[in-house]
Amino acid sequence: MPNYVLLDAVKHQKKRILPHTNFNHSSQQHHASLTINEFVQASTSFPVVFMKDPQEGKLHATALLGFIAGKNLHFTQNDWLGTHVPASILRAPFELGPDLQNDKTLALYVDEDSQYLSESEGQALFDGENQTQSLLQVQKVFADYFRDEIETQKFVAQLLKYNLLTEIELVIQYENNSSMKIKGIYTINQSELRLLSDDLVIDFNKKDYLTAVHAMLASLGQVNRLIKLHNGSEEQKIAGVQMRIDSGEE
Amino acid sequence: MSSEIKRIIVLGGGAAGWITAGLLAKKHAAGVKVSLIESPDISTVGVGEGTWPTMRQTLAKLGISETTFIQKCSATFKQASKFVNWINPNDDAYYHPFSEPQGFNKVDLSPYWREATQGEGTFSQAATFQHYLCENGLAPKTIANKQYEAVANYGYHLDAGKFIELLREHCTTELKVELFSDTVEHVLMAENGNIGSLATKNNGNLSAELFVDCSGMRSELLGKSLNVPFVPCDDIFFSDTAIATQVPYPDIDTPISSCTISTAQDAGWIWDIGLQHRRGVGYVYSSQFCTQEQAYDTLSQYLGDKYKIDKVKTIKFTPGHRELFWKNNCVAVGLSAGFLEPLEASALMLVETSANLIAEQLPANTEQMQMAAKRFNASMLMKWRGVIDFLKLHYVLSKRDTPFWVKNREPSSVPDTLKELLELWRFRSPSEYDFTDNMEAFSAASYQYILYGAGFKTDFSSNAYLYEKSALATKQIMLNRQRLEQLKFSLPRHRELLEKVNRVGFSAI
Repeated sequence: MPNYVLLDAVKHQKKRILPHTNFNHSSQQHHASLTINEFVQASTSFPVVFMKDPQEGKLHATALLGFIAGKNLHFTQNDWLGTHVPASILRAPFELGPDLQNDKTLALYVDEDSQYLSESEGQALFDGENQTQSLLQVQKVFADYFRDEIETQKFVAQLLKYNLLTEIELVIQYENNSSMKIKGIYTINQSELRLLSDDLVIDFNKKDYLTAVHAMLASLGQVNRLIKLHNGSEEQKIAGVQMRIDSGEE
Repeated sequence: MSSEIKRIIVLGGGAAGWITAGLLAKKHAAGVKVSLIESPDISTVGVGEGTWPTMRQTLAKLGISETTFIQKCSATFKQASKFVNWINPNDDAYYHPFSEPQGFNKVDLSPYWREATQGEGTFSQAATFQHYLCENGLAPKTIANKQYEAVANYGYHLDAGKFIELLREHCTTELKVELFSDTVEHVLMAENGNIGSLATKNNGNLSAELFVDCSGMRSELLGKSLNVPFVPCDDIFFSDTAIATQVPYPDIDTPISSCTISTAQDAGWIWDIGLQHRRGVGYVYSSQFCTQEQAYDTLSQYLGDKYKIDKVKTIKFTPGHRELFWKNNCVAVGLSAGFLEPLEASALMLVETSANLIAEQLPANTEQMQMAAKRFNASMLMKWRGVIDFLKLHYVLSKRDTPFWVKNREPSSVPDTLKELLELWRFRSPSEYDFTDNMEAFSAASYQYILYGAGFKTDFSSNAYLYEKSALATKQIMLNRQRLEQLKFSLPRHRELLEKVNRVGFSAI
């Protein structure tokens, strides 16, 4: 479990950052958050969907990395089995969190238990009271991420406004005839998309929303890739996965 | 002479009137004009009221978002009724949860649960995790569930006054119900005995092919104009008075109960309904066995020494219903059709059922009206009979010994239909085949919760050969326990969920 604490010049004076090697820290993540600017790239590797966070029920853009909680099918000791690595995985050992001094702003947190933190090797974060170039670079990454996240939330709000989202249920059939349902995955409602007015289509196109929408739709085919990866692991083999569109009934 | 139904007038702007007008307009607005006459002089009272899970479908059908409903009606989630001290006066409680027993369609748990649980816990504990959710103040869903979607089955507690305001607003703006804020001065009868028109103070004579009487206990049209007799049930139910009051929460973070707590008293019972901003508490009692002063004392005692009751609303009623609910061109919905007592929140459920039935089976023309009326009356009589039996069941299982409770158990006060069922259930459990009419109000699951919650013992031994599903039943009880272990950690506290609904709301997907 990560142990995020507010990044502090005194407390973390001696800390150094190591480069990512094999994304070991994501081995138990079966999904990873995305921002809208990653959708096209991500769609070449994973199903790009929305999932709700259990705390606020808000929809978040997500890459599905596996079917079973705790198992990232893209992680192996030697290689990352995908052409894209979600930026959220690259952000380790840092994360944004609430700034306790200032209500409305966010601050940089660091995972103190991270394997990417060292006191002997790597890039220093602080040089006395000053931030190093490395840390400034990290801050720039997070400023961009923050902006992208806001763009993603605007996108979600538009999709909701025009009723363009629908829940899908993944029914996983195992070779031993048992099955498992995965609920709480949301994707584009294609029939509503077809009904989108001309004006909105143009508007969506100019905002690059259309690209994102189609990347999401195309990415659902990556479920088949997930099955392949899954069946290459020691887990119970999957015979097939059915995707059921939510009918609106309870 | 037959004519098409072009206009329906609903008389009365209470919850019954607006729900009926709304459901009618929703389905028939393209062909039928729905008008509602609401008296400007009659004010509605903000009594806390319980609903059944059916209210979720009703609201969804009307097109009201669950978030709006919860925000505007101070509504909370209701998952069960809890009956405190109904069997014995001290420390005695059982639940009637809204969720069916685990695996209800696969196996009846009642012959097996005692053995499977080795005498630990109650029937509702063995049958559903909802018992635990209620006991521990957990919500029936999370903010990530979409609107009206349930993890554990639920209805609501709502502020009746605010609910009417929301319905009025929604029906007039979204569903195009025509509103007359006016007083009906008299009713003009047609020659064939039908209601011809309503003479209003400011809008002249308003006529329609069908009139819906939602005028409350006064039953202006069905009772007064069409002289349909009232069938009292005061030989079955002895409560005739209710005193109701509002109680603030001591703190803004006091847990809110997600069940209606019904606590038996010497001459009746006290309801306790948690809304978002306050509790609605009241004592429904029999004036035959209790003076108003005694009733006040009982209620204060329930609320605790520190609490001083002011602003009490008194409601007098005679339990019973009309002999018919639809006569000629007039159908009654709500209190104008009848009222028994607040137990098990059957009042709004009967409104929803009646309104849906009228909307679904609206006759095509006036010639068809008699047949529609006949079918409606048969269905609703069945429904009322079911409600009467089910409510009475709560009383006959009591072992309390004050005169009110003794009288409630007198055989002469128990309907024959219920007597028969109780006799049958000595040797087998309530089954869905006991309630084959699909208009039956309460399911076998509800009867089981009350019966076995109250400690009723069915002797399954004489037909032991029937009960060989012990393994399957034990499996259901285990599944229920597993499900509970997951839900304990994933479901938020009731108040916490309400706070989130007010802040961010449920999504439609």
